[in-house]
Amino acid sequence: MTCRHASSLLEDYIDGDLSGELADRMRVHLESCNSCRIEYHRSQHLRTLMGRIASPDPGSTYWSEIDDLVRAKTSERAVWSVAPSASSKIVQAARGRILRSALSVAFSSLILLSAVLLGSGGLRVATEPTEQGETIMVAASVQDYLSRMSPLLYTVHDYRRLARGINLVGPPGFSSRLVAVIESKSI
Amino acid sequence: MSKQLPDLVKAFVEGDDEAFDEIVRRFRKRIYSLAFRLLGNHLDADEVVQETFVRVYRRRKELSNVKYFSTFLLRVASNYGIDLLRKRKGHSTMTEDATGLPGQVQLDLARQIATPREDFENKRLMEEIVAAFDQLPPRQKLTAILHDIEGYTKAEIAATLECPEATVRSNLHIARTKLKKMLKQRLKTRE
Repeated sequence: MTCRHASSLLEDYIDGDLSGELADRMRVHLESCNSCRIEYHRSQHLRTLMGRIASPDPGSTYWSEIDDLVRAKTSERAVWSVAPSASSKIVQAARGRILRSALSVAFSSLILLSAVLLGSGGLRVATEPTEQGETIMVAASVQDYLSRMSPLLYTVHDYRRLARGINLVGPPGFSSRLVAVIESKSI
Repeated sequence: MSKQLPDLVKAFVEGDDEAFDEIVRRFRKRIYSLAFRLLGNHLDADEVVQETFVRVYRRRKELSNVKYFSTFLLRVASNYGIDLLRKRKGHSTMTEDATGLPGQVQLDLARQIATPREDFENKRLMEEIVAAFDQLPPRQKLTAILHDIEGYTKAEIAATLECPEATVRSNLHIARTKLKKMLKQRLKTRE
């Protein structure tokens, strides 16, 4: 075996890919040829060094996070079927436009409502019952409303009831207001 | 008793999400290890792990025609890893800035770093090896990692990279020759 031939077979020899006879010839050559033997040791040393390129374990916290992340991403994708074809992109773009329009209308309505409420003397909040057992109403500013953090916004029906002299008690909601109305009427 | 992989894959294809969770648990470390060695940092390895499983999930219907699931999974991870490597212009960062990582991950990674005194020389050596690895084209680098570090056979690598075994052999040969040349001073010889 020539050195040139041995050199071309060296990596396969180290990998164990050579057939029995060829491997034997290679072994004999390496025993007798100093330069090929040096090359053989270099190759083996390289394998050892490569094996030392570590991959750290990021820890159990990371692994449990990965499970959760993959689960979240896959369920999200299943719902929205993210494998965007041309048609689904168009549908998604249309969805985006509709959503933007709806948000814009909602925001404008909110501003308008705030202006109306401010113009009509502020928002109203319900107060504690007085010592006499009556329920009274007070006008409050927007700041007052925000600071109390327990808003009872009146509906159109509430205003009608108030106009008829019916006091409103309880938290917002149709059923509680209804009870209040019945109680007031029974009084 | 834990299910065999073919049963798990079958259940997953039929829509069993718990089977998919089990598949993720079984393969996540292997994918992370390959990705970390290919890209050299935690953040990119993390991205490869997540994206690999998300892609496999999306392609679950194809799996009924897949003969070897682990090869398929490795292919998805390898392709994404190579894309990412090309995006990063082939330069991985072994010594990444860990400050962007979640606290517990930082701690767990830090525990594995040896003291500077005991491993200063080792660290320099590793940097040289990683730098040499980074100079290889992505597919040669991946082939060398899969074969010489992760221990896959040439046939498995050929199936993973969808190329002839001769190409794997040739890529390995070229990669090792380049590495030997680049690390010439470091490769000690025993006479």
